[in-house]
Amino acid sequence: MVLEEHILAGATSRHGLMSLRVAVGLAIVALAIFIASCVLPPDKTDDGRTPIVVWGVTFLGDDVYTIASQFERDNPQYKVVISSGAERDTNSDGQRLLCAITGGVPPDVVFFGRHAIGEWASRGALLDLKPMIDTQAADDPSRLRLEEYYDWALDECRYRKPGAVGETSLFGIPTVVDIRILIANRKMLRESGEVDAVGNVVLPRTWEDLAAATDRLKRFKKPGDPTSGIERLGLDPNVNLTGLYLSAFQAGGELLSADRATVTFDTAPSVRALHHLADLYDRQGGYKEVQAFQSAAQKGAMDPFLAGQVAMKLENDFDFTFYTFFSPDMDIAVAPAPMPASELAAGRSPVTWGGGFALVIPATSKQPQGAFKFIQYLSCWNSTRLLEQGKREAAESEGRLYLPQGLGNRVQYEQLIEQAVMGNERMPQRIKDAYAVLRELMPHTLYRPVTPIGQLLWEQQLEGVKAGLNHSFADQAKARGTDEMKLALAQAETKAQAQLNEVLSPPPPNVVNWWPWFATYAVLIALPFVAMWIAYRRYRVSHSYKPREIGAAILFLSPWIVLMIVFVAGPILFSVITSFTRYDVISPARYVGLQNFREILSDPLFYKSLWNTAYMLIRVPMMMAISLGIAMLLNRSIRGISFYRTVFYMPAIVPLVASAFLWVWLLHPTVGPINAAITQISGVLHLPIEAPKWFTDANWSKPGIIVMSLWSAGAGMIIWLSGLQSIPTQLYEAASIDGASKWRQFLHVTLPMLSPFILFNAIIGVIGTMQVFAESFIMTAGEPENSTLFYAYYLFKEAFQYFRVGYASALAWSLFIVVLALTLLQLWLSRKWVHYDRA
Amino acid sequence: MTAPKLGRLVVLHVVLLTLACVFLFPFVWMLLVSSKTDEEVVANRFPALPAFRASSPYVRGDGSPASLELLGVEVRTHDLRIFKVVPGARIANAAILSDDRARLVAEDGSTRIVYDFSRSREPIEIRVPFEMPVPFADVHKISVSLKADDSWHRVEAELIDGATRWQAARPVYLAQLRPMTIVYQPPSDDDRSLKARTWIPLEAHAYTSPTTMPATKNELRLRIIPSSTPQAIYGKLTRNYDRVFRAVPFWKYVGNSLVVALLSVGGMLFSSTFVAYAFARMNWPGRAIAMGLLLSTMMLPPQVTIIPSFVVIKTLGWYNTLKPLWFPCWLGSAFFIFLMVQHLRTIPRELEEAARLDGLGYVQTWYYIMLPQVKPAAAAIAILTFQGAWNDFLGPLIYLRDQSLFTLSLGLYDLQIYSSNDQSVMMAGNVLMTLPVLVIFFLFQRYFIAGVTMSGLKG
Repeated sequence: MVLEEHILAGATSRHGLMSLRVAVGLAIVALAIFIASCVLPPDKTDDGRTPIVVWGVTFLGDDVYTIASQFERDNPQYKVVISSGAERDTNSDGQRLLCAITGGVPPDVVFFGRHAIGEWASRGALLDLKPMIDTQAADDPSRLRLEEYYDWALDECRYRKPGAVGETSLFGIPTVVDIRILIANRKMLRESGEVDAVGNVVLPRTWEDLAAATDRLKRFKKPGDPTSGIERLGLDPNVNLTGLYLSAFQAGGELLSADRATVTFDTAPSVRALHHLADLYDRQGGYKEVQAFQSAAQKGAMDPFLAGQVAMKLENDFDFTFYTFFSPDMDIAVAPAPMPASELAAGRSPVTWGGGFALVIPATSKQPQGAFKFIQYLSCWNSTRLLEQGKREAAESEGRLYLPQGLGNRVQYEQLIEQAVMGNERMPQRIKDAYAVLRELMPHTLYRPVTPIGQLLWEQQLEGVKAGLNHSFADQAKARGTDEMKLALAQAETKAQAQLNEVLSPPPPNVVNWWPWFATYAVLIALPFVAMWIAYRRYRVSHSYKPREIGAAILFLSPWIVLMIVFVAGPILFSVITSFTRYDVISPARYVGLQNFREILSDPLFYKSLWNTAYMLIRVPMMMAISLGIAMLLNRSIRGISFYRTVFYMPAIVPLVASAFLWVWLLHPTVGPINAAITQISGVLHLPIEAPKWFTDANWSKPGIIVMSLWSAGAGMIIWLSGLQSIPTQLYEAASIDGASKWRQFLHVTLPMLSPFILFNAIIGVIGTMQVFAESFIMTAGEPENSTLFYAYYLFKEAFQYFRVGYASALAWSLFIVVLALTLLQLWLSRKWVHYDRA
Repeated sequence: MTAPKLGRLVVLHVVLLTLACVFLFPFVWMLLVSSKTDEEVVANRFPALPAFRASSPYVRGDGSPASLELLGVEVRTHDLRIFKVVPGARIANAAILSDDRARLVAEDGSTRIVYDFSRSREPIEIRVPFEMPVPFADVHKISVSLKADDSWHRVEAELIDGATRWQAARPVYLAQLRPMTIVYQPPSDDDRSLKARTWIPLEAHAYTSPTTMPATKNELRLRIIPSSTPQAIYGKLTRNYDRVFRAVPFWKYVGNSLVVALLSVGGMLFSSTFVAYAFARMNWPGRAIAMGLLLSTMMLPPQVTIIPSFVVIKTLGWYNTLKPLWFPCWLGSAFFIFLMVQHLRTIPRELEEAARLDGLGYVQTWYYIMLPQVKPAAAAIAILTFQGAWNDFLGPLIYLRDQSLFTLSLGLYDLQIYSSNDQSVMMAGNVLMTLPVLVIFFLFQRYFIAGVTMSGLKG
């Protein structure tokens, strides 16, 4: 009778059922389409031409599409496929290229960060272009002339094995370049009297001038009272951009020895450079105070320089053009970054350091000749002119000021400046002056050493610098009687040196042979079925197994079984194996036994990131409580409920890129509204509360992220809402007849009936939180002081930035064990409180 | 309705509305930022609402003078030769005005347009005759440089070339107080490329030259169309959205995203209900262990399986297709199977037992008995899957190569990277990204209605 009732109910509420039935129907149609598309041969896109796949060049301007079609016209045997890079840069986001190379579908030309060339070339991932350049025909109209390029830009594309001497290779053709400069708000400098005899604003030229000018330009909240906090920076030394490199280079230091086999952070010039940097920060209240003025995520509205809170800044020339692009009327002065007076006195001209991009060809490219031809074509003056004209039109059509970006090709860059800036009668004189500085400075540029550990070297020197700026080693140095900056740099050096040694040492002998593992895999797949069969034979009676039911179960499980066999189990087995190897994806994996796991135990960042991640677990009960509260409020049928539900769900659907932007602004220490409110309120009430510095303070960054995730708790609300539906209404009716209050009903009906969903949310919440990734990937990059270096992000960095997939796999499996333990604990505890219908 | 009941309802609405304001904030913020001009972004200012401007020059709110100036006309050929066909200052002498509500004043290097719409709101036309230095077939672009006067009036253009009248496809707003260039283009290869559409296409119409104009000459006709206050506001609100639409092949990306999202939703609804039934309700050896296996597949951080997964997809021949993005949904996902298992476990067993007695097989029981019971959980799965598939960019990033296959999330992520921190355009893109998810949520949330399921089970 119940059944009839139900089929009847199904018939009357047919409409509601429709969507599911439609979905099932769709399923069959989609499967049919899918099978058809697998069986039928692929579309004949192949028109006889050879494809050249080019990644990321849209950065050079939209007219690359025009250049590609011109190239196809001139070389009818080729077809150019332009794919956007869609990567922030190859270093922090290299997984796309690594996948394509490993999968055997590499692009043929990649727009590539030059600072990453050492890492990729040392592992044999890039093609040496030298032979092709040497054999260019003398009369080739698009012949690459290396003598036209800045030497430093070419040298940054040359990799030699550490210790090796002799013939150099060339792994890329430089395209755009950027250099570090000093920019200043001319209005502020004029007000502060930084002018010469005839009234022109003068920017500091030496470190000593810079320190003095910083003192004159800085403003405290209460004039003359340094304890009141800084209101305007005299100078933002911007170490996150300049690192130790700029000052060390200026003082005559190098961060790697001449044979590139020894890390040399703590040499006398570098120590001197760090003292100079620390002095600049200390004059303005210390590193943390100054850091609050950093634009944490992206530029634009939140940039304190544009907002007039910073008088001078060490910046990228690219950012100078960026400021001008959005704010053409702002009067920005540009000068070379100041040098130590002693170096200038010794006759050195100002130097800076730079970087930029290059066009490279992956070593496994199927069309190296065609790829090289396209690089030649793209690098010639005609293409540059077309690209720049296109960029100019695009900028001006939006009411923005076009300014040329630096180019690795000196001849082209100078020609471009001449045409677009110097020869443009509408260009303001201050911008012409700025470009004169850039043109002068460009040849005197140094670059980061080309090494297999480039990214780690960058991060470690930055860590040393920050330790120095925070005076983390002041006490230790005093006790030992050494220099604190030297100590900070020496500490940071060890990890980089260890990894360099690892790369330089002969690789472990045993290369992984994958074939036996495929056989193992087949056995592993068969195993569960065999186990099932044995269990069936043994417990048939005691567990009352029925063959028909088991057969049906296998049918119902079949999609998941296919999923496991084809898509899930293989990659999992792969990660188990790689956790016992040294594997950089590009060269073959080699067994190292338990070495990765032993290394984990002595890795301070393992403990740090595990702690950071565990800390985030406190958000799980908070999010559950908030989302359940909202769901209870919204689980009723009143007018407008769908509006409320949609609104409460909204924060959960805002893409993280947008909400990251929003929260970085909301929680910004200097321009954010939340801190403004806190300061206001505590001021009115005379409370001794100081507004937290959120994402620039290591103690507040994690709470900041927790606040952010609480606000998007609406996603959990959906699961609660669906769970609340499964509570039969008669239970409430019975309870209210018994005189139970609303609160007692909640405790004794709602919570027990929801318990399966509480368990679900708890387990999923813990698993999800232990894998929290996107927040640090998109927003914080683990900063400040590694306080948001979450486990999954650390693992990602090891795998895709340091090329240590073996170590990353070992990290992943260590996390797996922790999460498994937590989940088993929850499941075990759940036996006591979860209510299932077990009738 | 009794008074206390009404009172409670009012309190409830007040509470809900207050909370709604907090939760609505991000969306309002995104909308506000998406309507900002560059000046407002840089100054971090609340976007101002434009109003009808009767005349120019005028003095702006901040005291700066605003006026409309023509800076010159350039012609660019296909082989990148650039000709200044009308220098800015010469326009004052050469141009002919449609009526006396406007006059031209020659300045140093430009021509100022003084106009007054207070008498009539008819457009003012400026005819600039010039001589085309190359045959028209060689012309790639015609750029009109001007300094806008922040009036939010519109400029429309027409180019007369012999017996052809080239009509600009859309007008341009005179936004902000900045030099800008309007680029007009007759049809070319660019129209078929994936370039950002920063130019305005010209459409050919037949034209009979009146006897007053020599047939050999060309004429550029610029019409200034006054914007009423609502029109100006509309223009400002939609400006950055138009940029997004033109910067990427928007509708193509939307199509790809819809294919992926809808097929994913269909697949997930099927696979989660289907597989979960075996876990929740059937008795088979190894069920507890398999459940543990299911849960544990979620525990390994996905970052370490990216590369082997890619190799699997490549081996299946699915690289550079949409299949890897939706097909696995048909086979299930641990998260949703687990959710559905938990949901099925709350459903009384009597239902199935009755079905069994009535002779229904397992598949029939699943279809006729269980599916109607899981609608709320299915709605949750549909919403979450749609949102996940719609917003996912890591999958498309790795598996797609051709831009014609890109999904909207990847396309906009790409735009965000290459539009170098153009905050207002980014936010416009994000608003466009969230709208479809909102619609899906709105449609599916009606399945969360309290207390309609499972009545009369005592039977």
